[in-house]
Amino acid sequence: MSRYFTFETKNGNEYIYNDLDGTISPLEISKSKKIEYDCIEEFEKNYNRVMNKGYIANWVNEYYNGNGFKQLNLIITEECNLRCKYCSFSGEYDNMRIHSSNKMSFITARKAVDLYLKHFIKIKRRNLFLKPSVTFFGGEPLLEFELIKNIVEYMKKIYPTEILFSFTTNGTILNKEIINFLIENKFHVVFSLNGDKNEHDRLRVRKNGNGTFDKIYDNFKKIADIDLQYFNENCNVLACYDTGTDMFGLKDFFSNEKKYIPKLSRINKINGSYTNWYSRYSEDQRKQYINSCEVLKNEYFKFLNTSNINEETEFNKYFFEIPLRMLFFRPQNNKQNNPILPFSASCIPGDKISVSTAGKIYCCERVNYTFDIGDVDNGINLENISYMLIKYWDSILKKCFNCPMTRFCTFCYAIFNTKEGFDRDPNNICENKFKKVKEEITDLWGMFEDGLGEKQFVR
Amino acid sequence: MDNKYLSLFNNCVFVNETRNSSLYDFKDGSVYKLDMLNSEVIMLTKKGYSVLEISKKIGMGLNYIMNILNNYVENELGFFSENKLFIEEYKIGNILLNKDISFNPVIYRCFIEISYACGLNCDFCDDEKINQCYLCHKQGEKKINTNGIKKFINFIVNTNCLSLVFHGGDPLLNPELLKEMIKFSRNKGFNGKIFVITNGKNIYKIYDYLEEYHVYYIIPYIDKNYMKSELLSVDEIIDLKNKYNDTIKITKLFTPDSFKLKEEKEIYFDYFSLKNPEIVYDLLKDNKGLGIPKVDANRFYHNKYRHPCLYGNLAIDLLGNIYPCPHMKNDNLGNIDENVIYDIFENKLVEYWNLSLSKLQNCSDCSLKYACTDCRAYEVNKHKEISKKIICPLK
Repeated sequence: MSRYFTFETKNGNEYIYNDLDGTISPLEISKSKKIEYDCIEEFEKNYNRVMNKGYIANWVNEYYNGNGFKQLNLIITEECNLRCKYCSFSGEYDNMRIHSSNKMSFITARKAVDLYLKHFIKIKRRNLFLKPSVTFFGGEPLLEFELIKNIVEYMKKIYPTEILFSFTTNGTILNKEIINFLIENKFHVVFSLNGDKNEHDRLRVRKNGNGTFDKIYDNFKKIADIDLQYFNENCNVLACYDTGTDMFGLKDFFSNEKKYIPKLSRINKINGSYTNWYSRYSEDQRKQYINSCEVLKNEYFKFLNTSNINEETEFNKYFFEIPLRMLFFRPQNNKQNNPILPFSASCIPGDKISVSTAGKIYCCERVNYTFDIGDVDNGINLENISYMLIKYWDSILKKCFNCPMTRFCTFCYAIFNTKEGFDRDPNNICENKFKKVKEEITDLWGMFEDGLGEKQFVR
Repeated sequence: MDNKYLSLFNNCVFVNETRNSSLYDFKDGSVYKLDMLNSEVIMLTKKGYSVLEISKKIGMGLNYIMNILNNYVENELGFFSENKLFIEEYKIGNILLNKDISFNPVIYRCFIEISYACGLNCDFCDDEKINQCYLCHKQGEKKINTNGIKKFINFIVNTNCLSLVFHGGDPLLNPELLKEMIKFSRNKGFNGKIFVITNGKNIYKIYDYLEEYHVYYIIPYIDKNYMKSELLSVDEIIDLKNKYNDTIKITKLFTPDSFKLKEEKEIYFDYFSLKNPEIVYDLLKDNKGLGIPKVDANRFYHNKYRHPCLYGNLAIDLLGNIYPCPHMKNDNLGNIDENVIYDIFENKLVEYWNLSLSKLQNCSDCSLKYACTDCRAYEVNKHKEISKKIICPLK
């Protein structure tokens, strides 16, 4: 492979995607230009530089002068009152921890906040638009509501202006006091809701196996009754689906606006790395799922060609439009000038910091505990970051230099992390992604050829 | 031949609005205003119609349409193909990320007023002017809030600020104060550009005194045939430029009459060079000499999401009041002594920086809005409405 790929639309036109600048042009035109697609030399130079002792640590240290620390994630508990079947911590995933009774102490939380704000204020001097942002994670964060309250109170006392607070919750633990607290502090709350009662209760269950839809729906009503504006503006839903999902049902549920269901903010497919999750479905179920997606896609494309984009449903927006828009708005005509992470969608460790219940710092709330990048007592550890990134280069990035679509990559540490380091699982994960991107680009360009305007496609 | 399709190259962006249509060519920054027929034809090519289909749809002969389209090919704006192709418009960087104002914002110009006094008495001093930010303005004397201004400088020099512009009055009338402020900025670690707006009369006296701080001087110039002025003459400015080279910058003050003076070659208009690499006079065939700058992709996308001038501006007056622009005195964002800097950036400034011309009455339906420069201060002072545009050089 090399840093480009070609594709042919349904109308028989050939195009070339050039990964070096991110552009797509008709093959005929690009034949007249000489483009050097192989980058092995540059990659080796970069690789040798990064492997030099101290290079990464120095680079990151310099980077922290004006960057990083945009968000603090506090994993305040590893316990949850539910046992959702597909949860990262359900035991289904070889590379992740499982639920435990570990929880964060206020002392640890305070140290994390102090460390974060100390760096944040430095960063804010370079970018005065930034506001501190704190997100609580679990387990179920509302199991530790008292701790959340104490942390919020402490932060408001020591920081002079607005702080953005948020968390994702299963939505089962809410009462009047909690709701009023969330409203008062303008919390942005994301509720996990997988669709209608059937679909939601299929996977999102209590320890005794009972579904949770009714309870969440009741709680939505409570919030809306107390403050409808808050409910509409600050509450969102995150939905997950898999091969067993009735995709038409999911579409119907999120297509019609419902008074007591918050607006959708994301639809995620349940992660298939480091798990046998999808082996539970038969070949017939898989085919049925693929067919449903195909039908929905054709409906969406038909809609795009014939209707006003502003009439689009929430489902179509998050299931089709946004992923396609990400392809369409890939970075173009710019240099990928980050020498320590030239490939993959990984951020620089420390761009956000996630603190575990024990006070160890990790680069993201979604990674496991294999590589900490410091702790709340001693701060960020540059040697740990170097160690982690060298492992990442050796296990992952080494194979990226001739990837044909680095600008479309959405994979990061969270996809590749194992209990020992980093790896690809399944080992053809990149090839599968490439195939999918190529298919989507081919479909999209075919539609554009048929007269779909860029403006029509992008609101 | 009948079923040929014209595609524009990806560096050519067609903007079609209800009032007019334009073609932006990022290859050399040209902007072409299209007449109705050209606009219609290009719109149909963008929709994927062949030459023959366009000819039928518009009801004009095939040869006539071919002639129109050939013009684009000859000027290297497009090419013919046998099939309908999709050519993606040129984009730069990460468009979705760039729309977020908190992503890597830059303060291009921070205006610091340190004087109201001036030794000259120009007739037009009190007149409202377009782009007055690079001009001096004499006012009654008031006591300067030195500590407040230093507090502001101390704050701003650690941000992504590219230039400080000291202005007045004439700051050179009080060289000690000017030196104190400049020295303070440099000592606090500011290594961007420092400009001083002055009428230029005292540069000879002060140049050596400030040389170690690498200061640039911006001098207003006006053609004395059109306005009575005590400002330096062309010859005097050229003498200064010869002596001090690149440290002397010039602002050309336009009057309605002096718009006609584009043949005046001896002065390079540094005002524009501070913001735009080049100023072009004959870009639009029917709008010669109106000062539309060249528009590369960066500028195009900047103007799409931001105000062409206000983005990256911040100003503080002699008393410590902070404004989005030194001449938008009705838009006081707060006083430095009230610890308002965080509040200004987190809540107030975004409204001004993100005021793209698409949000302005009279501009939203104009396809040239991504090429236009706009002086909000002049407009607001004239008609008090931030979202209205009356002065349009393109009308």
